[in-house]
Amino acid sequence: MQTKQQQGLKLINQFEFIRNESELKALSELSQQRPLDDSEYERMMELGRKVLGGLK
Amino acid sequence: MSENFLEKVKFLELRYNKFLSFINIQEQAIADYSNYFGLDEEDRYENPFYESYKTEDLIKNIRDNIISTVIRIFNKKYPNVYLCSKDFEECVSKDKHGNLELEIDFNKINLKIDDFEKRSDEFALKNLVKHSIKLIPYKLLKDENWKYRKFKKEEIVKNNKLILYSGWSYSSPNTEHTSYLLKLISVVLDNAKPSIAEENKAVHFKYYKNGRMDITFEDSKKAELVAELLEKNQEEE
Repeated sequence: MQTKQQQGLKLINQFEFIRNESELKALSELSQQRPLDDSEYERMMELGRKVLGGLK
Repeated sequence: MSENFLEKVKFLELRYNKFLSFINIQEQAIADYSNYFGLDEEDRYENPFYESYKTEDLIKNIRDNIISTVIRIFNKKYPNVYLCSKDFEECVSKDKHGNLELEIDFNKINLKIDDFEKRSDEFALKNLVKHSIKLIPYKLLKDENWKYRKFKKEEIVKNNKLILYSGWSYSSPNTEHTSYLLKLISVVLDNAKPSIAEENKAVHFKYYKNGRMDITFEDSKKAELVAELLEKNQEEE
């Protein structure tokens, strides 16, 4: 049985994942229109690591 | 038209016509039952053979599948030619409102394939160029008033490199259009036929943080040849 706290944390994690994924999508669509600046690029890479995992 | 296509279309035609004749069998059964039990037209829901909408829907699905199968068979031979089911819409019979019906004119399909086969290189080249142009940096395609302008080959060639823009896709370089450019490169450098050209493997890629993509060739002449083809074939938006 999960406690209410665990259920809440799980919901928050799910929400964060969806939020990160859509920000990553928005950034890659932005990069089709103009070059990303340094901060945007680093944010994209950070999100890539979080969402997709792996060695990127 | 090559023997290969003719045979395959004939194979499809024979099987499809059997499905069409099933409608007649069903209609006959409905009529026989009504006569035998003395049913009127209004009582057709009592008729155990009455399922006409379902049969039509099934055959409509098979009709659409057959058109996409014809396209798939064509694409196996000419992978760089892009066809869609709308190209074969004329081959399907229509009612007075313009809705598609069940009969397929397989002779027309043969004629269409024949036509596409003859012009396959022209279609394929158009398709390859259309996708490759999406790799040209956006600044070269817009003037200062943000109107469309044509780019010149000197703007994308630098020594033995083509300077292009790929952008990013989910934190890795966007390779959506690169395959088309690689095929175009083998058309230019290896004299491959556009309709069946494969990706060139002799070029080197480099991606930059700002979305720039460099393609390095063995010498500057090759880079210029590719840029020249892109410059010549660009179309106004």
